[in-house]
Amino acid sequence: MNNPELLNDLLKALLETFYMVGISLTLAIVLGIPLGLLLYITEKGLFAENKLVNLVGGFVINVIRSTPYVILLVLLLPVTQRVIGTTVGPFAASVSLSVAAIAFYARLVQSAIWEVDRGVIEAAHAMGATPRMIITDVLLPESFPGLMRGMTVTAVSLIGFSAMAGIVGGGGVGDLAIRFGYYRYETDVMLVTVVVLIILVQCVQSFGDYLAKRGQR
Amino acid sequence: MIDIQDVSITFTVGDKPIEAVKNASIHVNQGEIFGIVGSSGAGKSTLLRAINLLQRPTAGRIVIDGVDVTFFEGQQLRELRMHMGMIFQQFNLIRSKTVFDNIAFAMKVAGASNDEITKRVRELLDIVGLQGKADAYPGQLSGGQKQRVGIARALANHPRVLLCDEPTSALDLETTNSILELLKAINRQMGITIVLITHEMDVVKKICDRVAVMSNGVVVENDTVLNVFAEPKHEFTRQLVNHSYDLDLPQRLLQEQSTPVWKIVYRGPAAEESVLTDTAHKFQVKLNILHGKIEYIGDQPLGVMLVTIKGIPADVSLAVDYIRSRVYHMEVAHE
Repeated sequence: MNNPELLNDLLKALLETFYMVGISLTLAIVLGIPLGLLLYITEKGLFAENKLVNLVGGFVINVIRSTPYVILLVLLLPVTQRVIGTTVGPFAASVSLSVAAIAFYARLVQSAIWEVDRGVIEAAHAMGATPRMIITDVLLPESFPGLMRGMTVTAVSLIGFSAMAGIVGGGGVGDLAIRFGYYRYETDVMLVTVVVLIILVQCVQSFGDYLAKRGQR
Repeated sequence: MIDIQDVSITFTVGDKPIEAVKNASIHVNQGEIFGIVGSSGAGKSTLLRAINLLQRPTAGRIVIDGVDVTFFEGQQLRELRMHMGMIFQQFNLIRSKTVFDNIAFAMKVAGASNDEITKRVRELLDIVGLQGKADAYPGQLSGGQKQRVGIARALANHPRVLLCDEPTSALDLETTNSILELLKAINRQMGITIVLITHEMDVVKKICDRVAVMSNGVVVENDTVLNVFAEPKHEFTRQLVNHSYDLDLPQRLLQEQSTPVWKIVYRGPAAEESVLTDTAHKFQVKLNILHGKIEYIGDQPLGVMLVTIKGIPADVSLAVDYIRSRVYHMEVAHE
């Protein structure tokens, strides 16, 4: 383990994990929140009630979420090839990771907003607020802790998924663990990488909890 | 000022239509406090929501200051709502915003500038007695304080009407009284018309000028509070009023009575006169008061008394006639 080459590998793998998780998490936030919001506000009895959008959106998300990630990754290889120009490396892996993360987070966003008191939404309507104001001043701030917790769960899941992405050449810490620890029977390497992953997950969880707590009133 | 004309509201639950409000007509005058009372599920909350169209009527019209608003949409509807404050049983404050920001939100909706907001919020906090609470979060306030924030928020855009949905039902008795006092002061000092729904007759008695009684989606009574209390016409109203008077006699006492128990209702000046003493002086009868109460509704006294009158039948009958001539209403309550 005091092999400098391995340390280099580990750092490189960590960086790749950061890329994969960072890119897909960012996309999950940027696209998952609007998508989750759309699912919520098109529900029955809400201000943008629309059965078709709600059903189609929910169905697409369910299809993505019920597909095992490895299968999704393989299915999306042609798309990856077109978008990134290659199917190997952390950026290529980010494509399927992002698709999975957006669908995953959108559902968590929807259920976090579900927790907002309908009475508060009604009060905003009674004040004459526009849908945009209800979203920015009621739905999002009121569900902030839930959105943060959902983000944490998504990030942790992504760390796990990114290990699978490694199987088809995505790289990352999980990939390192599988290549050295599993294929080469270097148990100590595997242990180190697992410890690194645990620390990573702990850090993400603590940071997420901190953010959620800040929004809690 | 508010005219609810023949409004019906039907919901579809599953595939069953449920008529929450049936042909309700109510007229609310400028500057009064109008109560809508009824048990839960009577449709009063639905009817209140029809006024600012949170609930659109299935049939009938809502006319405000002569303008038919029933089919208002979009910006027109939002502007109508901006000038109608509303408060709720569960207060419905934005938990993630401070007291200041909760009130500011209502003003932001109406397009107020930051300077206006800062000035007006301070003014409002003075009115509702929450000076120094601007930076508190709703979670740090008591129920009464939360309702005060709700009231401040509802008043933010200088509304002419304040709709109150069971404003005191989540509060204890003492807090209820202080909130009712505040609502009354707002009505009297700012001339804001108030429409209030409640299931408690006591609330009606304390602050309403006129009241509509709802039962199973139908407005069964609609009169001044004094009239409704003095002479409830509908069976349901009678129950409500009796319940509010709490003039039930124990069964044991009723069984012991050999003569009828009379219910005497006084109202106006007669309630301040000594009718029973005069009767006892004039006739050879013994009057026994079993139960009684004088209430002041607005500043008008309204008294109810349960008495027995004993003596030879001729005297009793003379005494009854005499009392009847001097009080508002007299009837046999128990044979």
